[in-house]
Amino acid sequence: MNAVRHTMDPSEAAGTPAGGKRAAQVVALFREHNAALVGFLRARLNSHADAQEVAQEVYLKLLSLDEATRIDSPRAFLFRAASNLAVDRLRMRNVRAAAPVDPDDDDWHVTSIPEQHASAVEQWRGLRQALDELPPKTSRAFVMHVVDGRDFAAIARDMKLSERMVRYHVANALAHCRERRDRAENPL
Amino acid sequence: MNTAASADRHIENTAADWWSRLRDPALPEQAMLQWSEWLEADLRHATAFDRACAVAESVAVMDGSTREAFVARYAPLTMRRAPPRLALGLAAGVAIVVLGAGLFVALRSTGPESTRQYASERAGHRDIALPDGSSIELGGATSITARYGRDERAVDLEAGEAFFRVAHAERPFVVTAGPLRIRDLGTAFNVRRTGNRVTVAVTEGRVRVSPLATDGDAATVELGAGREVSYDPETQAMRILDVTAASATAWRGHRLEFVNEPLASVLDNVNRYSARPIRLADADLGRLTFTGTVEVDTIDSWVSALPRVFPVRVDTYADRLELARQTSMTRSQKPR
Repeated sequence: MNAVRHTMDPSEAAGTPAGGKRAAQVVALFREHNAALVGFLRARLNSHADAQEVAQEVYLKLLSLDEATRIDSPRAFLFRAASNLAVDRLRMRNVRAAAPVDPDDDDWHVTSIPEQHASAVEQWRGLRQALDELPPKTSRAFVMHVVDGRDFAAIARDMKLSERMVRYHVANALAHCRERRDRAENPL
Repeated sequence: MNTAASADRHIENTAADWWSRLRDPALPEQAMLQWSEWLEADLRHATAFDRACAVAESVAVMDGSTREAFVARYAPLTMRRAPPRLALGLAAGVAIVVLGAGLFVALRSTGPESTRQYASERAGHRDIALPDGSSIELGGATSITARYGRDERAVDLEAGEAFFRVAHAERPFVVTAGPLRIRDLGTAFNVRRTGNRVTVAVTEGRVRVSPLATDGDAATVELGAGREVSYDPETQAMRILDVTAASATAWRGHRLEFVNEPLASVLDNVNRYSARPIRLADADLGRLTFTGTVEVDTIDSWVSALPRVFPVRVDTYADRLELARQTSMTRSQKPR
């Protein structure tokens, strides 16, 4: 992962002589849908930093398209391109033998190491408490997917549920963990 | 305030739903458009979604040992993925870690494929840890060959009984046991091979069992946890039964359990543990069916009790025990 993060605004490209209608289109997409694009990639890649990087790749890909290429639904095109590039990124991660996420992506790294360790221990205790409050199927689906990295199809087979139900459990667990964390951070 | 709180809660829950939906690699394009509409409809949506993402991302950076602890606690039946270090170890041809007593028969390395043979001694048990995180527990007098190729993890069960715990991975895990091919779908299962008689019992997850003789999927059965399939070489029939995990892998606790098993096959299995082999003087006796438990530590007393349930007598020799047809005549009379 690159240490340098770009905050590219495609409108800069629009100002260049090369920027024509295509650039204007990309600028419009960026302004209207960048948050949705980054959010989409953030969920897919489970990394904010990776999501921002891949979003840049998506815009560059769009900018590199021939002016003659007609895009019927630019927004659909945007997500399709993002989806493909996300697959490439995940594949690349696998090739790197699933190296752990860059510590830069981890908000804890801003604190010193001992504090980081203490907050990590605290964090896992919080997660355990939150999971303990859930029905076993819900915590199981969440741990299999988010902790162990298994895909919905594999979990569905393992738990003899539909993929839809697995997604439902994962969402419920995530909402619950989020609520627990908020409560811990903002005690009434 | 109550309505505001419940509206917030609704937004937070919807954000988590979206996170989960977006994780689906097969998400339809229409849903992506709905997603952007939802996110852009209200600033609070984006804030709630960021919070959901942050929770998931913080979980994903968990270190290996914490991850193992969480999986063991909340998803105990799940096979863990191979630790990446070990997967690389395999690619580099690093020796497989072998635990327990046993005989390391041979080592060949052919290109990207890595082949290892393992065998256990009579009455011995042996644990094998494979480099992808899978493990195999061998019963007595059992031999297997593991071939880990680029596309497949293949194990050939030549004889005996083994319990497989398969680490989840892209490459399928396939066990060949004589006439049967068992394809793992993320799971733990037991395979017993007695000649061409094969029993596959699933304790966790699912497997797909296909006879090698038939092409296509017509004869393939898919088994879930708590089920076993027995292949009878004489009828070529696949019989499916319910089985508990405890009885499917009873041998791991030094007990062999049989349900309606031909005596010949029972003896073959018992002989994998017996100090003195038990033979049949009359092959026809092998067709008798046996249901029951054999404690491998007390095989001799099991044998001596057989005449009470079967029309047999036990002849003891220095190097073997022999079951002969019991006649009402004199002991010296030879069985027909």
